[in-house]
Amino acid sequence: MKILRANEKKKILQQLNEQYGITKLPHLLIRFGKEKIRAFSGSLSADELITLDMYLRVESAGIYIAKQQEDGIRLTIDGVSLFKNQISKNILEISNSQAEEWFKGNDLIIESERVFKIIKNNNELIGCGKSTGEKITNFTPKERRVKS
Amino acid sequence: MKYIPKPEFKEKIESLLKNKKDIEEFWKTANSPLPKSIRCNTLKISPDKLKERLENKGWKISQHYNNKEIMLTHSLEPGELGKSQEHLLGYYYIQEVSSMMPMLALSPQPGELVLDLCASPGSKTTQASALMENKGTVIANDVNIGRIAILAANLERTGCSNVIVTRHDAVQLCQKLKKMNFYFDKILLDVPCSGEGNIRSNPATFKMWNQKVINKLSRLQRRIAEAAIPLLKKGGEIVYSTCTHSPEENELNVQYLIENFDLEIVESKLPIKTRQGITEWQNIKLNKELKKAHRIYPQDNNTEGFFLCKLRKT
Repeated sequence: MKILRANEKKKILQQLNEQYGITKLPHLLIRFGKEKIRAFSGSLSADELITLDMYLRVESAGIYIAKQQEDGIRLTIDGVSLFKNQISKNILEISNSQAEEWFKGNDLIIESERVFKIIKNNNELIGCGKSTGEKITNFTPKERRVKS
Repeated sequence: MKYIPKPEFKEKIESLLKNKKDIEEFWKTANSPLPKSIRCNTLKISPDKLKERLENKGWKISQHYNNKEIMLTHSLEPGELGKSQEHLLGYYYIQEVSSMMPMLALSPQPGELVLDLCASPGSKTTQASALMENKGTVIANDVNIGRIAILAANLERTGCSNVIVTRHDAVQLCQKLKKMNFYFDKILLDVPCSGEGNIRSNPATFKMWNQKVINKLSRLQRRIAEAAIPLLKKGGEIVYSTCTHSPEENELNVQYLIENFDLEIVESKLPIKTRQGITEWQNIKLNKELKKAHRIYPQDNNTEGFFLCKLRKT
C-alpha cells in the first residue's frame, strides 16, 4: 500500500481529465501493487493510514477505481460509478440488447476509435471498456457479471 | 433438508417464551420460508428510485417497516435477487431484516470513527458506510481470508470508500489498536454465535445445536468484548449483537460487561417489533436495565431471530 503524493495525484487527475473529463478528485489515492489505484474517502489522514499499515494486516482501503496501463488509465466499474456525475468524454451509448451482453461480460462488436470507452445505457454509466477498433473489450470482473 | 430440533433446544425456547400460543407461533414461523429482503444502498440510489426501478422490471416490492430502505421482494425465482443488474451495480444489498437492526441501533454518523470487529460478509459494514455517507472511517475486520474476499467484494460493489479492511484475530486486533492509541466513537460487536436465530435460513443449526458449544461461544464472546471495550472513547457507544436466543450468549454476557466495565445500557429505537431483554434466567436474577436490550423473535415480524443491546462508556 502506497499513498500517492500530491504530484502523483495531480498526474492521475490530469489523465482522468484527458480521457474522461473528470475534474475533481477529493479522495486520498492509494496504490496497491504496481497498477491498482484505490480511492479512500475516510477521515483518517495519510499518516494515520501509514501507521495502521505498519502495525496491522491491512487488506484494503477505499475502493478500487482505476488501473494505470501503458495505453492509458482504465476506470473500473466502481470508478465509473464514483465519477458518474463528472464523466463527460469518451462515452459510448449502447442499446438494451448490447447492455445485456455487456452485463454477461461479453465484448461488444462495435467499431470506434481505439481508446477507453465509458459504456452508457439508458442514462446510466455501466462500465468501462477498451476499443480495439472493431470491438469493445469488456473488463467486468467475473463476480460482477450476470450469470446466464 | 428438514432437521428436528433437539429436546434441550425446544426446552430452552419454551423457557424463554413461556406462553403456549407464542411457542406454537415460534415453531410455525421457524418452519416457514423466510421472506426475501433487501436494503437500499443509499450511497448509490434513493429508496423511491430503487423501488420504482425494480417495479418497472415487474418485481413486487413492499415496505412493511417504518424505514423505506428496507424492502421485501415477492414471487421471485431462486437466485434472481443476486443476478439482477441493480444488484451487480450495488443499488441494494441482500440482507435479512433482523440483521439490519444492530447498525440501526448503533446509528453511526458521518465523520465518526467506527470499528466493526467481525465484519464479513459485510452486510453491517456496508450499512454503516451508507449511514455515514462515506464520511468518517470504518475499520472492518475479519480473521478468515476467504471471508475477507467476500467482504472486500461487497464493499467494492456498494461503493463504500471510507472503509479499511484488516485481517486479524479480533482480540489481537484490539490489543494492537490499543497500543497504537486508536479510540472509536462507535463499535459493533456482532460476535460469532450459535446461530439459533438463523434456523429458517440454515435449518442445519438444529443438528449442530449443543449446550457445550454455546458455553464455549459465550466465553469467546466475552473475550472479544473485553478486548474491544477499552477502545471506546468516553461517551462512545457499542452495540453487542448475536443472531441467537440463548441468554448465555446474550443477557448473561451483557450483565458481565456492565459489572466489569464503565458501561451503561442505553435505549435504542428500532423500526420493528422487539421484546425486552430478560432479567432472570435459570433462577439467576439479572440487572433490571437489561430490559432495554432487544430480543427479536421470528414470529413477531416474520424475520429471523436476533439479540442486541446498546451500551455507552461512562
